[in-house]
Amino acid sequence: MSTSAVNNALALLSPQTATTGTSSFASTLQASVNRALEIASLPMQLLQADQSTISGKTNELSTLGGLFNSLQTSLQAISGSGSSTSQATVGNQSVLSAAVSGSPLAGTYTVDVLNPGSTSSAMSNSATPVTDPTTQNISSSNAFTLTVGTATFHIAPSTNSLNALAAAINSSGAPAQAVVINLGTPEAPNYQLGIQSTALGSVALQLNDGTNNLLGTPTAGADASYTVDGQPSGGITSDASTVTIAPGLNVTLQAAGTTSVTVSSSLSSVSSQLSAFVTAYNAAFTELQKNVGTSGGALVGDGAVLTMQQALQQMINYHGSSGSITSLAQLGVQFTQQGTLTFDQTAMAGLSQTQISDALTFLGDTNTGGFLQYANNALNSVTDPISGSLATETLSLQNQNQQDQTKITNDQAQLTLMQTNLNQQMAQANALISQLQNQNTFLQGLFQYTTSNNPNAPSAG
Amino acid sequence: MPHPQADLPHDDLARELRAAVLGSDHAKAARVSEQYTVALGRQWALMSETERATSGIPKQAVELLTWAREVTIMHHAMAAQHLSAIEKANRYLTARANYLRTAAI
Repeated sequence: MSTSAVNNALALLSPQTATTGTSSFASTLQASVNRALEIASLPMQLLQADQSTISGKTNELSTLGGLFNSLQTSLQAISGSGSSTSQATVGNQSVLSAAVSGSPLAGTYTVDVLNPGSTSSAMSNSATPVTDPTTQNISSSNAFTLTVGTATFHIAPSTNSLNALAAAINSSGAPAQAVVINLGTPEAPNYQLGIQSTALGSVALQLNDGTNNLLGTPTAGADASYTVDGQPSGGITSDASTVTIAPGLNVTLQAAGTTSVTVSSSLSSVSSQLSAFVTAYNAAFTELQKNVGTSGGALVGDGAVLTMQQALQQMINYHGSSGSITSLAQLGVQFTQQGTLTFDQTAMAGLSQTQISDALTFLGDTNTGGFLQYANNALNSVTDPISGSLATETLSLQNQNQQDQTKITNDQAQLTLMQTNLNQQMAQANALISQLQNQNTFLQGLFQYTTSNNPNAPSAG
Repeated sequence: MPHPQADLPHDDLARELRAAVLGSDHAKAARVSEQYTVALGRQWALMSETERATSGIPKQAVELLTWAREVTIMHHAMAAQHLSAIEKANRYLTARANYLRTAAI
């Protein structure tokens, strides 16, 4: 058969295997695979978004938790400042100074200092002058016995020098103070050891080196004596300068004379604590506002925010039921238009003693009542480690975290299965590609002898 | 149902092969292409010289096997791409799982 005959015959035949080429099919299949991958990745994208949300919420909860804890701490500080709401004013400060500890009764005390008292002292009387106290001593001994009153103390200097001896005495616990004094001139120094009793009055002082007494005759001191409101007539004797003249009221006697000591209520310490409270409140409020409305905070729409807002409003709106002070506004704490607080310290300065007393009653204590307890309880609804909104919300996030982890585990199992299937498919595809190549070669060989004269035969190559 | 062995017309096997290739059923495609080749060889052996000279079978057969091979290569490439995406997703999930386990919540 001629080549043209074969060509003519073939032209009459419709193709048995119509292939349209691979390009258009490939693009369609590629689009399909891409779409499938996009759909498959959607859950992971959601999971990622979910995780970002959890992280953001966790961070914001942590921030708010810190701020609310600070706010609660500031409340407790106001509560703790209640013990220092009294102050003492001294009429003549050269006679004595006064200090309040606790809650002394308000009133005026007249203190007459008959004798501010003095301490006993003694000086060493070494015949051989010490010209260098860092290397020389008043005795060659390395062990001494110090007598103060009726008590004795063993003294063992670290080195054999006057300075070391004085230091050893001061660290021995003896109620005495040792000093090194130059009784000579700069050109001819003569260092001696001086010892002074801590207590007022006549106190025996002696230092013995095992053989000799090293101190000269001591100068005897005198006890302090004073009367309070003229009583007792002979005065009260004390071997200490600081004496307690009323519960919670101590005075330090400084010079003979008479002075008044007035104890009155004061809100100065409360004032500074209230200022700190307002600062802490504003910090918490401002942070909370970042999570309200369209502000875009991580906790927008979260129920915990509402609980925290309510807690803040609740405690600020507290009203006392008795006395002349029934609201924070009367103490200078006011709302701004933005919802934050301001504090006017001058508001407290103008309060009378009765109003100060009422203010302290209004404030109360975090444990027993008043504003502080009310506010503390309101904040507990936020900060309580078990039932507080912060703890509850954190637990909720933890649960969500756990659920996400479970979902990830499941997704990973599914992905592993897909990987296995794909690997299997690829192995089968590899085998098929090789097989088809071999079959093609085989068939081309089979058909080869017709190549030259059959137009339907495959082209070479 | 009778099994489609070599006694089936090779045209049917060709259609069956195309379907298997398009469906990425590589195992079936391998089996059918084997049957197709055997059937074609048998039919070719039965044909006269004249029939062979004018037959469209050679061109159709080579076109079919070439097409099947190209599509399978493409499927293999796409499976590799898919596998790469899955491995990436798996790595992502592993990282997320580690984060969640260590997250200070």
